[in-house]
Amino acid sequence: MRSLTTSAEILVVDDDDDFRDSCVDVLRQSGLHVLGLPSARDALGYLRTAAPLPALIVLDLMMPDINGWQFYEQQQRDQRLAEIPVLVVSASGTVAPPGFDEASFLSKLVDPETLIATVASRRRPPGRSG
Amino acid sequence: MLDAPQDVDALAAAIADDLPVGVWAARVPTGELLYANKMFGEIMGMSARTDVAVGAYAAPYSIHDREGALYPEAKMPFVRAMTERCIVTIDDIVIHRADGAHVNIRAQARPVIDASGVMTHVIVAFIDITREVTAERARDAFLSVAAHELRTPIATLSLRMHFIRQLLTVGEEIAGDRLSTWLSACERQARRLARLSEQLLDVSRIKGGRFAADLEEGDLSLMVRRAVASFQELDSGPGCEIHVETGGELHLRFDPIRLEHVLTNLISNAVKYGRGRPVTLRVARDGDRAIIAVADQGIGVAAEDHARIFEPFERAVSERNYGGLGLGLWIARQSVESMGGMLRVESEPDAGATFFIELPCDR
Repeated sequence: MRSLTTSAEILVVDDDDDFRDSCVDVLRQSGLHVLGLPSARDALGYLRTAAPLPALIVLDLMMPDINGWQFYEQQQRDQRLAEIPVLVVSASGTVAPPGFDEASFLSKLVDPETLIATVASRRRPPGRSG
Repeated sequence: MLDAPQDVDALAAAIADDLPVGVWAARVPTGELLYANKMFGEIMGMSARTDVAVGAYAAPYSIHDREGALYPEAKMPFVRAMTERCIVTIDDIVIHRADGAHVNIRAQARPVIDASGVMTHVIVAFIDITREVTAERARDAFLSVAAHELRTPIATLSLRMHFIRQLLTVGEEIAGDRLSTWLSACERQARRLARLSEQLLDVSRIKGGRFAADLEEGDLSLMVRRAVASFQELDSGPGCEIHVETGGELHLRFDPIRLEHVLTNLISNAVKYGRGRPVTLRVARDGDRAIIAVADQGIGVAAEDHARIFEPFERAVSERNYGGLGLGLWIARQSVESMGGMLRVESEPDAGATFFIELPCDR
């Protein structure tokens, strides 16, 4: 689908290096084109010039500097970025945190199969340009 | 002071007025206030109880539940005692006082029924349970933070193991150095979990007064270098610069295991809040004290937070930005104090922070 571009299909934003790396590896192994970034600031920087835009952002909440809630707010304010679906993957609880519906939330303790399936299904369908 | 109780009624009235529990009584069914003591006025935030004449449930305060909604009339202690004709206890009342303060109340209401079976009035006691409720909240918050802290390493381990198994399943050749990197990551998570459970155990040891140090003679400079080397090898990712400056051997008595935990905690804080800038540890002697300084060049700590960060479950920054149990510095200070020393901080916002461990040494 996006074989002509090097842009990532899935963006994983998490400040925990070990978690992010294993998450990226698992998603890549399932055939997805994934980029992991260690901060919301890096992610916003990446998104500014990314073309096409990712089909999904996997977002951690508790992060230093710009946290996940603040990132989401900024993303929603930017018309170009607002359409990208966000999947919050957080250790914070088993129910969606305030501001996010159940469908866009996954507990970090989820089994890897569910993570892969949810990421695949929450992706923005290809074809719509960013 | 009361004189000898010549008049029993006067004594009873005086005691009722000075009870350390808010007490009021109201006629049924009208709710007309018959009596309110001093403590009731204090709980409700009024200077004199004569202000209460408008009724116990009326302005200038308002009565809410713990979620902040107005307390339903039918569930008020007075109303329930009156309709249920028995003593009722209610724990979830919050008084919103005119001065802005919120007071958590346990109310107990008792209907007074005369010999002919007619209920004449209801007596209500208000007990301020704000401290208990605050402690309860802190405990609940702590449990949810602890669960959060346990989840991330478990999730990382589980994803990594799943990934390796997938590679094995598809028969992919795994290069030794990749496997080694993944194993290091797994080991870091195991250490993280071990440290978390150690911290939880430390809490119960400290609370139970079973936190004596195991002192032995050793070289502090060597100890610090080893702690840094082990932190760099096992805990930190690449790119974190840590300098150690020691002025040669420095022998004194300390608890090596506990001191290593303290140093690991201070170094990981320095790295976490240090904005990626170098961290420096200095070991020096100053008269009868040995001093270890752990300095970062990060976000720093505001003066008003210098005391608070050593309290349990506190942190100087938003939980939305930084994880952790909020126990590290509290345990660190208890640990250093158990060795007869002290732990303090010097810092300003945006100017980095330096934590000083001071330990007694002979001569």
